[in-house]
Amino acid sequence: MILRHVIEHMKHQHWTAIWIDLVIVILGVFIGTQVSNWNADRETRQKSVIFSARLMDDLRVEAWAYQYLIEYQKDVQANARRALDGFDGSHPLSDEQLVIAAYRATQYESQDRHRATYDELVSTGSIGLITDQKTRETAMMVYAITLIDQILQGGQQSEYRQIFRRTLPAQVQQALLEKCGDKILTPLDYTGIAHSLDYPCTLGLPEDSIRAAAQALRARQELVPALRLRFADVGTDLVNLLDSNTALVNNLREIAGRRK
Amino acid sequence: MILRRLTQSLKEQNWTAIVIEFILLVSGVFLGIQVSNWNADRETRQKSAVFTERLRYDLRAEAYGYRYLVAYNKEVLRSAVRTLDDLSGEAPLSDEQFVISAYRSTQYVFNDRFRTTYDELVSTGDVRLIADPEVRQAATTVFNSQVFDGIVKAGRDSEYRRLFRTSISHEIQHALLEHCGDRYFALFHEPLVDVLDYPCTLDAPADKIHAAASALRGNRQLAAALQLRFADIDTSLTDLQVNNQALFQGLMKVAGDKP
Repeated sequence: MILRHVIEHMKHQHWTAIWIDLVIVILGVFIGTQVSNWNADRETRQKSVIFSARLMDDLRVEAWAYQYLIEYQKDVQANARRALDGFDGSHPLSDEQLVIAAYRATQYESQDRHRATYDELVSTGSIGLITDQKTRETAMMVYAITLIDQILQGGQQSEYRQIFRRTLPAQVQQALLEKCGDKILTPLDYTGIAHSLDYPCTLGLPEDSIRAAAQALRARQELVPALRLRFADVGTDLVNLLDSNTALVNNLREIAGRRK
Repeated sequence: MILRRLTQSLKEQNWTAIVIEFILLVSGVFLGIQVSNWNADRETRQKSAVFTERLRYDLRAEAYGYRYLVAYNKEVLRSAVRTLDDLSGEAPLSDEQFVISAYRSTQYVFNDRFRTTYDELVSTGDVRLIADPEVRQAATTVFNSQVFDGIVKAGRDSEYRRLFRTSISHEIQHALLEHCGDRYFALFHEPLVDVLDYPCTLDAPADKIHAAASALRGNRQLAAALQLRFADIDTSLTDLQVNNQALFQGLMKVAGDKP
């Protein structure tokens, strides 16, 4: 009896309308979800454009800084070679130029890193916002590389730097810093990175104090072996900067060549 | 339309219609969500395929780097043996070949790592996109292994390297770097031989080479420091070839090479 009622009721239903309704509901839910996704995608694309531009700005500075480091290390190496030649007498230098070359061979370049955008992207798990694979990979390589810190540490902790600094009087060191120290450059100044350390200079000190400084350096027996070590280490740094990490070097050069 | 009919059915207490409308609504929402999910799954599978391919490429490069590191250290070890044999008088070398061997014994390789895809997956929490457990396992192991950094650090900070570099004139050091230094091969270059231990001459004045050889031979600490370096390289090779065999084999399997 009940079954007959149910069958009777079922017969009275508008099955075509029911199927149409079903399709409408499915489409409605699907399209609603899709619209929501499209909206989220649109917002993601907007964020992606902003973050990509910010990251590219940072990478342009990193590319410049990498090139600056190479040129700087070349200047340090040239001065180390000059000082060694001066100490062994194969290419004698004046006392003043010997002290300057010996000073510049102690120098290292400390870089400000421009990694705020990258760190923000990584810490929020949003590195995928950078849709260009090469840009993303370059950022990951340049910010993960340990070589730059190693070069910095090598310079800071070098035995030669310590010996040099212990040997010279404070006033000579002050004059070296003021007259013959690093030129301060603004980021992206590619012209300035050539010879930012190895430029003509004089100390403006009395002759006798310069002579005394040069003699003090020449008298330190452990100075030349330590400078040889520094010379070789800077050479290794340059090889590592130029010949290792080839993918990174090429990508950075490409980024440096890109116009805003 | 459904709501209007549902209201109408409720007013008329047409329970069959109510039940049908209810089932219709639930099924419709369920199927709509399913279609959305299928769509999302399809996109995830596409991403998964792309990331897996990229990670496989990186692991192939890591496998090559691993083999390069083994080949390189074997050649450093060979140079160390030659230098020690000269220092002990067992197999004397010419001054030039002695200086070259002694130099090559100081060398270490700074391997490029290929970890950008893995780091990206980890930082975005998407490691699960790599469905193949072997690929995932190989990546996790190789990118978290401390063995590579340890080998680089030991080479860079070795006492022998310091002694060598403080003893030799800069002209000879420059000539060694220029003429007898590491060869740089393109990625996947084969065969992995003569990466460091290839025939070379210094192209430097004989008296400077002689002075360099004498400075080295006359340094009493050198032989002991080189023995230490020799033993350390041997340990590194054992670490690479024996102690980390699972890592190596996992890499080779993913790379499609025979270990």
